[in-house]
Amino acid sequence: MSFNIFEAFKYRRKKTFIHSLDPRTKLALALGVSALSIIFTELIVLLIIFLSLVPLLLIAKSIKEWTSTVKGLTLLIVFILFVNIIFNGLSFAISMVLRIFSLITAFSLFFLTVHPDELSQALIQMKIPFSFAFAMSMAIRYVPTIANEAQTIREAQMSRGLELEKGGFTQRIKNFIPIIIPLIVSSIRRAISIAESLESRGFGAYPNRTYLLPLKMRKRDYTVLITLLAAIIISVIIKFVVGLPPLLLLSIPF
Amino acid sequence: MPLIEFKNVSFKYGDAESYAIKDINLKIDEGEFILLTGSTGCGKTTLIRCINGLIPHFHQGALEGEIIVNGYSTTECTVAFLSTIVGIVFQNPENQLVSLNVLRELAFGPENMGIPREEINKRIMEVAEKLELKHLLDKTPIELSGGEQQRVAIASALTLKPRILLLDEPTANLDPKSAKMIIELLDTLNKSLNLTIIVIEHRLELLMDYVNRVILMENGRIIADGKPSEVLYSHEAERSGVNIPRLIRFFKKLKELNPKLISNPVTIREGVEALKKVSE
Repeated sequence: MSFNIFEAFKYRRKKTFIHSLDPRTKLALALGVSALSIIFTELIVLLIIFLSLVPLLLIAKSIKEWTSTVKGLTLLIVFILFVNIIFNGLSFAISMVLRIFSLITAFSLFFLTVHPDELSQALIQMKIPFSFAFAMSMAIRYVPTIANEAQTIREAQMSRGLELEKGGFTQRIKNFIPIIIPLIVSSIRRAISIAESLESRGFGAYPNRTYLLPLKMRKRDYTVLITLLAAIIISVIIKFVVGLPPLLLLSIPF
Repeated sequence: MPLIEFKNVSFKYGDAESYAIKDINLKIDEGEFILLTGSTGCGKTTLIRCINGLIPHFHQGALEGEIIVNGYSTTECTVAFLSTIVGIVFQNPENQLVSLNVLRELAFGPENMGIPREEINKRIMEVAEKLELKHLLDKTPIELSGGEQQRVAIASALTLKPRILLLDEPTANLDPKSAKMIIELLDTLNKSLNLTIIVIEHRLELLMDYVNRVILMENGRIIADGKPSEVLYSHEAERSGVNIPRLIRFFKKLKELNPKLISNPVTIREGVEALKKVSE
C-alpha cells in the first residue's frame, strides 16, 4: 500500500521526447518549476503552473504512474487542505494543494524519466566525485535484493513463532527487531563481498576513469532550457516589477 | 616459468589464531584447468585470494612467503594492476553485479582502468558474443536467471582480458542444468583463449570431463595435487571426506575385486574403455 507513493518515483523504460532529454535538463526543469510554484501564492497562477505540467506528463506517457502517487498521497493532501481551510480560508488552501501537486508532478516527472544510471552520470559530469555517484546508483541497484532478503528473514522468523501483529504500538515496533538485526548483519557481510568484487575490478584505482556513455546536451535540451529560463524571467518580472494583472489575482471570496 | 608460483606461502587473517593456509608450494602453468577442492574452511578461498592480491591488500593479516603471478610479486602490485592478469568470480553473483544493466557491468572493469571507449565497446561485443549475452545487454541484474547472472559475472571479469580466471564455487547457487552450462563455458574459454582456470567446487562430478589437474586441500595445506585419476583415487581423497564421484567409488570397489583392472578412469568414457579392456 504505502509503496504506491514510490511508484511515481520509479524509472520506467519508455521512448518519449521527455525520456530522451538530458537528465540535467530535466533536473533544471524540476527545480525551475518548484521555484516558480514557491514564488507564487496566487490561486490562478499556481493553477496555470500545474496545468502546464500536465501536457509534459502526457508527452512522457506517465499519467498512470503519476495518478498512483497522487492516490498514495491523498491523506496528506486532504490534511493540508483542511488545516489550511481552518486557518487560512478556502482560497489559500486550494492554492497550497495546487502547489503540492506541482512539486510532486515536477519531481515525479524527473524520477520517472531519468534512469538511475543517467542520474549518476549526470552527477559525475556535474563534478560530484565518482564514488558518491556510484554509491547512489548502487543503493538503487540493491533495493530489490535487500527487500528479498528482508522477506526471507521475515518468513524464517515467523516460521519460528515471531508474531508481528501482536501487542500495542511499541510492542509492534519491537517485534521487528528479530528481522532488523539479521538484515543488518547480512547486509554488512554482503557489503564486504561486494567490496571484494569491486576491488577485483579496479574500482577507484586510477584517476583517469573512462565513462562509456557520457551525457551530451542536444538541441532539444537547449530549447527546453531556454523556454524554461524565459518563463522564469518573465514570471519574476511580472511578479516583482510589473505586478500581476487583476485577472490573475482572482480568488475564491471566502 | 610458471604463470603462478607459490613459494612457502602461509597466511593468517588479522584476528585469527591459526593459519588459514600453511606452507603452500605450488606451480601452475599457462592453459591449465584446475579443480581446487577440500572441505569447507580448508583454505581454498584464501588460496585464490592470494593469487589476485586481495590478500594481503584487501584482507589484512600476516603473509609469509612469496606469490609470483605472471612474473610479478603480488605484494608489490595493487589489486587493480593484478586484475588485468587475474579475473575472479565469486559464489554469489548477486554480490558481483553492481550496475543497473549488463552493458555497464561489462564496462565496469575497463572503465576503471581508463581504457578508451572504442576499445571497451570492442571488448564488450567480443565477450557478449562469446558468452551469448548480446540479447541481455540492457537488462537489469534482477531480471536475469541465476545462470545468466553468473555468466555476466564471468563476462565482467573477462572484459579486463585476464590470463587467469579464478572461480569460487561458481555453481553453488545454480540448478544442475545451469551449473553444467557454466562448466562447459569454462571449458570453451580454457580451450579457445588458452585461459588458465582455477575453479573451487564441491560438486566434483561436474568437472571430471574437463579438468586436467586436481588440487586437494585440508586444514590449510595441500594434501594431494595431480591428475584427477591420481588424486581422486588416493587415500588422501578418501580421508578428507570430499564428495568423490560415484564412478570413481565404483571402480575403486571393482579394482579390489579384479586385479586385472589397472587404470584409474575418471570419466564415463574412460570407464567404458577400462571395462572393455578387462573383458577382452
